[in-house]
Amino acid sequence: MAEIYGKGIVALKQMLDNKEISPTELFQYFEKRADEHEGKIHSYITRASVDYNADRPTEGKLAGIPIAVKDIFCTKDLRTTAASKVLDEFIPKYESTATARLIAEGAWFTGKTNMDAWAHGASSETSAYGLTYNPWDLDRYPGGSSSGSASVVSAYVAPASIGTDTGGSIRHPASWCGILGLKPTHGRVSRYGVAAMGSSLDSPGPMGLYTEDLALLLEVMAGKDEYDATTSPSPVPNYTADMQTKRTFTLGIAKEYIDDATPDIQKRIMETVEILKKMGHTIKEVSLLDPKYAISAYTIINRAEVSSNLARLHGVRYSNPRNMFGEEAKRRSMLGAYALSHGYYDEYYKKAQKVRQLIKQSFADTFQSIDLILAPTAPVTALEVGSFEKYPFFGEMMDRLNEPASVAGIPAMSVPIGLDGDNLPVGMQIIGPALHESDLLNLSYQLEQETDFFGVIKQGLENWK
Amino acid sequence: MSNKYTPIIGLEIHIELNTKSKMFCQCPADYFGQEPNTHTCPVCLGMPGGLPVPNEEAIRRTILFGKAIGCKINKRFKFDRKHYFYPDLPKGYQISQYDEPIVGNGNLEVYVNGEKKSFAITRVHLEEDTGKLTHKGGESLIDYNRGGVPLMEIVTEPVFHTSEDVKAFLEELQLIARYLGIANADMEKGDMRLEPNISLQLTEKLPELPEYKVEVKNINSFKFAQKAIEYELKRQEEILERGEVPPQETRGWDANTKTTVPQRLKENANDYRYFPDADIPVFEYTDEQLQEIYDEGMVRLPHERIGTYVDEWGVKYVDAVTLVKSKDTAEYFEDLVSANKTAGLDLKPQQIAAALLNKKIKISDDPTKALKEFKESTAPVETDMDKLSSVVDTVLRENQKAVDDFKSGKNPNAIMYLMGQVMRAMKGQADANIVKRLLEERI
Amino acid sequence: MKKQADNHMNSITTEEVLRLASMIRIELSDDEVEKLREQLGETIDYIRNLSELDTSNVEAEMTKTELKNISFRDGAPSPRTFSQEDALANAHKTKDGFFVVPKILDK
Repeated sequence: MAEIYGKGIVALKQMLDNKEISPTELFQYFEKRADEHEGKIHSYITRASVDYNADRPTEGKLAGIPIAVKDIFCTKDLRTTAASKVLDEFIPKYESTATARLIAEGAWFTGKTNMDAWAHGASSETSAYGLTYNPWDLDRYPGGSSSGSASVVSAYVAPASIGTDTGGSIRHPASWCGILGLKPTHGRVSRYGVAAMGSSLDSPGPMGLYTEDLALLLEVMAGKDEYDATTSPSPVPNYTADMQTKRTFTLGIAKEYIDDATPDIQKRIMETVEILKKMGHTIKEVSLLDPKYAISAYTIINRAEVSSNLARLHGVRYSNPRNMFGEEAKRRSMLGAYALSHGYYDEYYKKAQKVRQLIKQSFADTFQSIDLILAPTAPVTALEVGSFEKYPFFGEMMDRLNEPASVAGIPAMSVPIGLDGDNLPVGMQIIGPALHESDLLNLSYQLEQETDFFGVIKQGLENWK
Repeated sequence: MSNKYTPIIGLEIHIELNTKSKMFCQCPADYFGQEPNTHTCPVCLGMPGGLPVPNEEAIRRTILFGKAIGCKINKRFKFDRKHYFYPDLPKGYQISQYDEPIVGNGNLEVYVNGEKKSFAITRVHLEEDTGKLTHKGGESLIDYNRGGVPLMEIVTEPVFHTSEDVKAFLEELQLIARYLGIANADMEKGDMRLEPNISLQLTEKLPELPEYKVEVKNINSFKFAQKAIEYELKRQEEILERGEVPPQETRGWDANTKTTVPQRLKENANDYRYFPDADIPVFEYTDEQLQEIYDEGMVRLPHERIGTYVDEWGVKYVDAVTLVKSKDTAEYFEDLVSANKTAGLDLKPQQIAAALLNKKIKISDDPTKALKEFKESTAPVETDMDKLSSVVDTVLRENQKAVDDFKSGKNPNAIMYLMGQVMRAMKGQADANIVKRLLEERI
Repeated sequence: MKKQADNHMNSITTEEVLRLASMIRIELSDDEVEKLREQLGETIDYIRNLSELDTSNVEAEMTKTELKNISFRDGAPSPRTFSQEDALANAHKTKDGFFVVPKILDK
C-alpha cells in the first residue's frame, strides 16, 4: 500500500479511486493517529465512529474522504457543543448546509474539533472542554477560534478540516499551526446550521495542507442556499481548474498592516514579496484605513450580534441554563447589550456601521489599482499558553490584521511563508475583492509550486510522522 | 362619562396572516387544532444556526392590506430584531420591523352608525408570532406550532374617543382583511388581537395629550373590546376625580370578572435593543412591482361598495352595511343588480337588497333566474273568492276570542293573527290585502 | 474593592453593569460585576476611537446591501420540519408533546 501520511484529500481521493485503500481503512488510519496523538494536542471535543459514517454516499467528489469539522457546525445525530457547557448534551436533528454538502459528496467526518466557546477567542482558552495545543510547540496556543481544526491538520490527525472565520478564526490558527486556511467572502458559504457568532461576519471555510484541497472543499461547500438569505447567487467557479492557470497579479502592500507585526514576520513578508516579484508579479505600496478602527467597528458589531445570537440559548428547548455561559460569552453579550441599548445605539452601533462603510470603501478604492493585498496574518507567532491572561483584549489584538477583511466581508487566506526565530510558522494573508476566491487560490498555488510554502508544511509533517 | 373628560384611545392590532407557510421558514402556518410541536424546524424553534428567510406572500399581503386601508407603502423596508426573554419566544428576540416598516401612515374611512369618520393610522409592520403557553398546575406547557406565523401589527394614532368608534374600526379592518382573503381575522380564535392604549384628558386641555396611558391586553372579542374600554374609562375617571393620575401600566382584561387587572411586567421590558437583522437583506420594490401586487390582489372594498349602493343605487344605508358584511353576499347582490338591468326586470336595487337580506332571493349560480323567480313570487296572487269567503267565515267562528279582542280594541294586532289563520287555510293562495279587507268587513 | 483612580473606570457604572446583566438574563457574582465593570470600561474606552473618524457623509450599512428582496415561495415544501419526537429530542422536560417549564408569570 502506498504511503498515506502527509497526503492531502485530493491525493487520498486518488488512492480511494484506485482502490489502493477502502474508505473504512482510511478512516481507521486517522482514528489510529487520533488515538496516538490526541493526548498531546487535544483537537477534538467529540470523535465520530465508522458507524456514524456508515450511510455516506459512495460516489462523489469527496467519497470516503475523512474531514474534521469545527464543533460549531450542527451535525445531525452527532453532538454539537460550540465548546460551551450550555450545549453540553446537544445532539442536533438537522445538518448545517456546509456539512450537508460535504456529506452529499461522500465525505466522512472524523469528529468535532475543539474551539473557543462560541468562536469567541483566538487561543481555545475559552473552550469549556480544555485547551488545544499547537503541534509546533505543545506549550503554545494553536490560535483560534478554529483551534482544533488547525491543530488536527497540522499534526496530520485529519487530512483537512473546516472552520469558521468571523474575525480571523480560520486564518489565525492556520498561521500559528503552519497550514492553509481560507475565509471566503461573507455569503459565499451558507451559515445555515452554524451556531451564529456575528451574523454579518461569520464565514465558514476550509483548512488544509494543500491549495488544491482548499479549492475542492470550497467548491463543494460554496453557493446559494435557500436556507440562508445572505448567500450569494453568483455561480461557484471551478476553483481547482482556475488555480492551475498561472496568472500575474498586481499585489498591494499596506504599511499600516506590516508595521504592526514583529520584525521576524516583517522579514518573512518582505522575502516573500521579493520572490513574488521574481515570479513576475507587480508589487505596489497602498494605503488602507488604520486597522485600529476596524477593530473598534468589528468589536461593536460583533458584540451586538453576539448578544443577540446567544439570546436563543435560554434553557427551554434544548440548551442548559444561561448561567452556564463562560466568562467571555458573558463579557461579549454585556458589551453588545450596552452598544444596542437605549441612548447608546447611535454612538456605538450606528457609528460602527458607518465606519464599516468607510472600511469597505477603503478596500474598494484600493482594489481599483491592485488585484490582491498581502499582509501578515497575525502580528505575532504562536504565543505561550498562559499569555491569554496578560491581554484582556486578547482576541482582538491577535486578530487585528484579520478583522478589516471580516468587516468588509471580503475573502482572505492565510498561507505559511516560513518560520520565525523560535521556529514557529509565520502566516501571510492574501486579501481579495468580494467573490475573488479564485485569485487567492491561484496565488497560493503559485507560491506552493514555487516555494513549497518555504518548507513549512513539509517540516510540520516531519514533526509528527 | 361626563363631558369634563375626553377619552383618548390609540390601538395596536395584531392580525395573523393565513399563509400556507410561516413567516421565516416553510413550516405549515396552520396551527389550529394541530398536535403540539409538529410544525417546527430549526428556524422557528430558534435552534443554533437556524436562519430566517422571509415568506414573499406575507410581504405581498401586508402591502395589499396597507394599500387597502389607505396607507402609504414604503418601497424600501427591512426587518429588525426586538429583544426580550420569554419562554414563548424561541430566539430571545422577535423578528419585527422598527424604523422602516412596510406600511407607513394613512387614513381609513369608516362608517360609524351612518356617519363617515376618518381614523389616522401610524403604520403597519410585519413580524412573527410567538409560541403558545398553557399554564397547568405548577408548570407551563409550550407549543411552538404558532411560533413564526406571520403577524401584521397595525398601529393607530390616539384618535379614538368612543368604544363604538373602536369597534367600528376593528370590524372594518376585519372585513378588509377578509375581503382581500389574507387573514381569517377571527378574534375568538386569536387570529386578531387588540391592545388599546387608553387614557382620559380634561376636555378643556385638548388637543394636548394626557401624561399617562394604560395598555390593555387579552381582549379576544369585539364585545370585550368595547366592554374593556368602557370599564377602563370609568376606572380612570374615578381615579382622576380623586385628584390622582392613573399609573402608566399594562393591564389585562379578565373576562370572568369583566374588569381589567394589572399585569406584572419584567424589568427592562422597554429596552428592546432593536437592531437590523443581518440575516435578512433589505427589500426594495419598484413602483411597477407594487402596481403588479395591487393589480393582482386588490378588490373593491366594503366602504367603496357601500358608497355605490347608497349614492348611486339608492339602497338604504343599513341594508348596504349588512350586504357588505360578507364579500360573497355583496358580490351576489351586485350580480343581481346587473342581471336586473340586463334582463329588464325593472326591480329597484333597494327591493333586491331587502329581498336578498330577507332570504327571499335564492343564492344561485344563475342570478337572472333567481331574480325572475323572486319577481314572480311577489306578483299579485289570483284569489279564489268563493273559497276565501267560506274560509273567512270559518276562521271568525272558530276564533271568537280574537274577534272580541279586536272589536273591543284590547288587541289591535288580533287581526294579524286572524289573517295568518286565513292564509294558512288558503295555503298562501290569497292576496293579503283582500283577506284583510274581507276580515274587517265581517267582524 | 479597587479605587476609582483610572479614568476608564468611569466609562461604565456598577448600576449599568447590573442593568445590562439583567437585560441579557445573566447572574453575576459581586466579583464578576467588578471585573466586568473594569473590562467593559477598558473596551469602551478603546472603541471610542471611532469618534476620530468623520462619518457625517456616510450612510450606515444596516443589512447586506448587495442582495435584496430575498424570500421564499409560500407553500414551498418543508423537508426540514421536525417530527414531534425530533422537535423535543433535546428538551430537558416534556409532557404530552409540549415543552415544559416552571410556571411563568404574566407577560
